[in-house]
Amino acid sequence: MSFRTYLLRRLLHIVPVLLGLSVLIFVISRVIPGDPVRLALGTEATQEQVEALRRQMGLDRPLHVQYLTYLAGALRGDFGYSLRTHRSVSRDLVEFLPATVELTTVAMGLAVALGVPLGVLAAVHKDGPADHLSRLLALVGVALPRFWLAILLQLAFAYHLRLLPTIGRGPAPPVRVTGLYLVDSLLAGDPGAFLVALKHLAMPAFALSVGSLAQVMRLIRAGMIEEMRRDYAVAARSYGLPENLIVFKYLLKNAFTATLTVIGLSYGFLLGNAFLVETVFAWPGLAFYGVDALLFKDFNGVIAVTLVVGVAYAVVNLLTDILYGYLDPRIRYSEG
Amino acid sequence: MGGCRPLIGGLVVLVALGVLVAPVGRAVGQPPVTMTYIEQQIITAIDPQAAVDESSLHNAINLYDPLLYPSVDKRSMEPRPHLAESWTISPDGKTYTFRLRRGVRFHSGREMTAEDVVWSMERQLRIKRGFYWVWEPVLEPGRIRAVDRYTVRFNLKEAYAPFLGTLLLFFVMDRDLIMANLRRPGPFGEFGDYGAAFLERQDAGSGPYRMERWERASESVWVAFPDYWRGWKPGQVTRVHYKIVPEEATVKTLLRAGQADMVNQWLSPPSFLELKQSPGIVVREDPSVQLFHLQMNTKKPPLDNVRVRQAVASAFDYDRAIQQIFVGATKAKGPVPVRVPGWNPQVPVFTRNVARARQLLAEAGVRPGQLKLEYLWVTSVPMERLIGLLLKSNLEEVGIDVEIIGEPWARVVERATRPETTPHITAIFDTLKYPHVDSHTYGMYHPSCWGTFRCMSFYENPAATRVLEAARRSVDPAQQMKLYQEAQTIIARDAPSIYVANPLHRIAFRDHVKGYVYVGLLGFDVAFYDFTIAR
Repeated sequence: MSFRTYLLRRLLHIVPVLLGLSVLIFVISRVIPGDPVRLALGTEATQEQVEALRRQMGLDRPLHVQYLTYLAGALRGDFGYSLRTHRSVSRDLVEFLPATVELTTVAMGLAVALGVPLGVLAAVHKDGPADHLSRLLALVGVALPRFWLAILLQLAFAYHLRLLPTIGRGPAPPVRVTGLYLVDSLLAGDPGAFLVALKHLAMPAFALSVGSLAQVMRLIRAGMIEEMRRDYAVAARSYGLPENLIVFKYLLKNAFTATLTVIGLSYGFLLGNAFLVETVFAWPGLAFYGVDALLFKDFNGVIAVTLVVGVAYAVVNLLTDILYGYLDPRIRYSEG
Repeated sequence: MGGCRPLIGGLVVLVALGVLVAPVGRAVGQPPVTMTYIEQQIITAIDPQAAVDESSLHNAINLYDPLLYPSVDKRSMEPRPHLAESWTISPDGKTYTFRLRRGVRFHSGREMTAEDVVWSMERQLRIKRGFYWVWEPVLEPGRIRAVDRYTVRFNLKEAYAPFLGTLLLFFVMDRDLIMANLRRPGPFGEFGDYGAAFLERQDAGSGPYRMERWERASESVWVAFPDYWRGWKPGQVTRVHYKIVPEEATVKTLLRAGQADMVNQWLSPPSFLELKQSPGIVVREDPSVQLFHLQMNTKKPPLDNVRVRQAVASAFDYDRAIQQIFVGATKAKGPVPVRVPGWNPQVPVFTRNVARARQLLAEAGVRPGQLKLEYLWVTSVPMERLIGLLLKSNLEEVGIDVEIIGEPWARVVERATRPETTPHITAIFDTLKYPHVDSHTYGMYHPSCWGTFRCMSFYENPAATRVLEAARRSVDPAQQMKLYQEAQTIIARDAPSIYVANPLHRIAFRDHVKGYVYVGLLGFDVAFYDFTIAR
């Protein structure tokens, strides 16, 4: 099977997944108890007001007609009207998604950039002080609730030391291209804005990354130790190859394959679960928007956020599979 | 070259903004006075006619002008002249004629006229959003008329006692600006979307501030409008950063660190207590115009029997509720919060009397162990669960079992629509909707309100209904108040609720913020125009 066929097949797999997800979440959002229209209009709204808005939103039509209308709109990028923000959900997504994508990407970047070398270090010095320290860090990283760590960081670095800003993303770069402040400030050629955006990102991204960092670190360590015992590693050493070459060129590449799956899954997970960190740092992101929509039963908002997270999972897993193929060519050709 | 266009466009916008902002400093004659306010709820709408929650009302109050305004200077909620400088009422109480203030300018620079007032009320009535429900009983498009450039007349379908008070919630909008920015087609025929999309981006008001920037979930920035008709004095706040921070711990950190000047009322009582002990922070506590009560569904047996309701009300331990749960609150005396003008001090009040409760149950033919009642509380308000536990233990003493159930607010609102779905008892916080005793009498106990959370008792007593209707139609203020007080007596005697508390209203700010006044109406205490900063 050629790489192109492999890629095409993986892309086609996404379609039924998203379709199934859309049916599921559409039905769930319509049947869960609570009256969002009444909430949106104010709890004193008259029945006449409620009926008028229901008609305006097409909620008086049969469920399957509502779904098909929704689907047709979603394919055009129209996710309906938000009862919470009183505007189109598509506009909400454009506003809120980049903040979470930026936060999650930097958090995952941190997790990989710190987790991989720490994992290698722990494996190379197995049962030594570095290994014990990494074990302790991993335990703390997994066990510590993110929101609590976020508040601790805030108290230390924003309140007492006054090194970092307490909340928010900071001022928007002068030109909005992607909505990602780091990228937009670079595109605008404004290093000052880049630095400001980075300072605002530092605490939330670190708080969000800690759990994934611990996971990556432990998986790399385990993978490396396993690879170290293999014959090719022993042979390489017996040939007198430099240790760094063995570790980073051969062992790490093989050990990284298993970790890649976790990184892919973690990215999707963080995208939908950054809520607590976003809340503490008043980060105007999609997770915060999604939970707010859920609390107020803003069903169009809930469906859109679920679909976006679903797409993110699918795309990240696709990328992971492609990377798998790159790291281990046997995978892409062995699939029947 | 194409790549430079957004940059050039951005520069042009910045220069334009600079030009617009520059006169503010000159008008005020002082350097900008900045204030940062923290709110935990997002502003859901900046269209003042769609506002229903506190944060959206803050936006409306600061960027727009209502026709009338509460008498903040007298620390009262009574309506005082504002955009309307005087008014007359016809003897039958149906026609209100307002003389408008001359020289009021919208942020567009155009003078406000009677046509804007007519158009704004008609828009409110047609879009059926926000506080539409307070005018819906007496107004419809065509009943508001511009008599001349500065006179406007409202012809009500019938006399409506709270009408003047409701006009505190009627915000006048710049008709020409909105009409020039309609999006067609839209749900409102010739009016397209009635400016909904336009009002997502900017304001169309005449208020003390105009919107500079709005990022829905994080920050709204308002700057002083130099041509504001009330003028500007040194020290007044000229730039407002209205930030949305949902997490309570973060809100406290920001206030303590001096990165915020004032924080909203939604913090928990322990947090306010903590802030009270912090240097440089003032925590203001005022008796609120809120009622916390346990509504009893009078259509659901056994609470359809007035003696059972009176027994439940007699078994409840009010003192413990105030001392241990609603610390600092005033014990509620009837349906109307005690600081609302028109509250009846003679209203019958239930106190804890277990023997009397047992006797009432016996008279109702109820034996101990026979009854089980469902108590509903809103899961986002843990205090209501504590009240449920207290009620359960109190009613156990008279042989009634209570099942405590928590539901999210969306579900409570849905259950409130019909008597069959409404539980026996529901815990409800109900704040005054407009500055009139009508809000907590007719608004809660006239059958026309059934189906909303305010009327989960489904109370019906023809005598009370008659008196309430007569009170609304009464044109003599003294007679009006007498009737509303009579209605309170009838209602309280029938015990459709356990009236628990009028809780405290709390807010915290840095001690350099001066001019804070709480009059009881939702949102009007955070009018930044009233604040000065004395750093």
